[in-house]
Amino acid sequence: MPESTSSPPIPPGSGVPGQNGAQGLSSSQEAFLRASPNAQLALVLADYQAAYRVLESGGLEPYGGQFVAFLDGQFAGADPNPAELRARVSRERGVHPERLAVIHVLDEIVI
Amino acid sequence: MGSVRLSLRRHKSHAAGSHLLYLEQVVALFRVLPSESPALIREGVIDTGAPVSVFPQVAWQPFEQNISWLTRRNDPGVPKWCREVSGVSGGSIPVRLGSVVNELFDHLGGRLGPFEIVAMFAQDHGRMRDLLLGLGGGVFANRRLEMVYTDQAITLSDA
Repeated sequence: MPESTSSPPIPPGSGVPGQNGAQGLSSSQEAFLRASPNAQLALVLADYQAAYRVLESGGLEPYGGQFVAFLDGQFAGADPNPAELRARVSRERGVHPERLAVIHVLDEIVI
Repeated sequence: MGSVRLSLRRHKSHAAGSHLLYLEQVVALFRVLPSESPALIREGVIDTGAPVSVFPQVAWQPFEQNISWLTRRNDPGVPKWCREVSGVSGGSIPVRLGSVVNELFDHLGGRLGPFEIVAMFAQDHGRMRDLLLGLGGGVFANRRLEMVYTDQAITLSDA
């Protein structure tokens, strides 16, 4: 299992909103925080659905045992630690950490 | 009467004789209330084998202010099974009991709640992976859980 995924098989999305790498609160972060709770929910939920679709297709198999983040319908990064994943992708993509859909990709049964 | 469709997440498969086995989980999406901005949305694994819901530290720390604590860490006033969990990753992990208000939702517009659950909040320092929505504590109270496994149709609804 890779410890990090600086060169993931699925390239993080490009040409999508919020990729300004801004320090502090970006316009994308502000827009997300200003949105209604239901609008925030709809945005994040759409990315969970995208994550489940890619998972079902086998596209996340290289990330078994890790957490993966999705943003704007696309893979945005992976990391063994979900908090570090949210922080890193948020910083790289200029979005609020809670804007991301993060799921755990299983690679074994843990009892 | 609320209802949500739960997801059967399949990670891998393996043909064993005439059977196809899946590495799979039933998951639910929920948000933690009160609904301040930003919405705190989490994925929980439905685990009726877990007596109570268990939140890994990394999952609950961002909404610690929303938790009403019911016990202290290593609280001698509660039984051992309510102050530590074991077997999830080896060794024992201290937990605190607390309550939090949640709302379950799905991608079809279904909602359940808001409702309060009592859960174990683990002090696991990253040892736990998944957030478990367990049998007791309120997730399933006055609810009906229906599954047609072959159709991957799983619904949790108000009874």
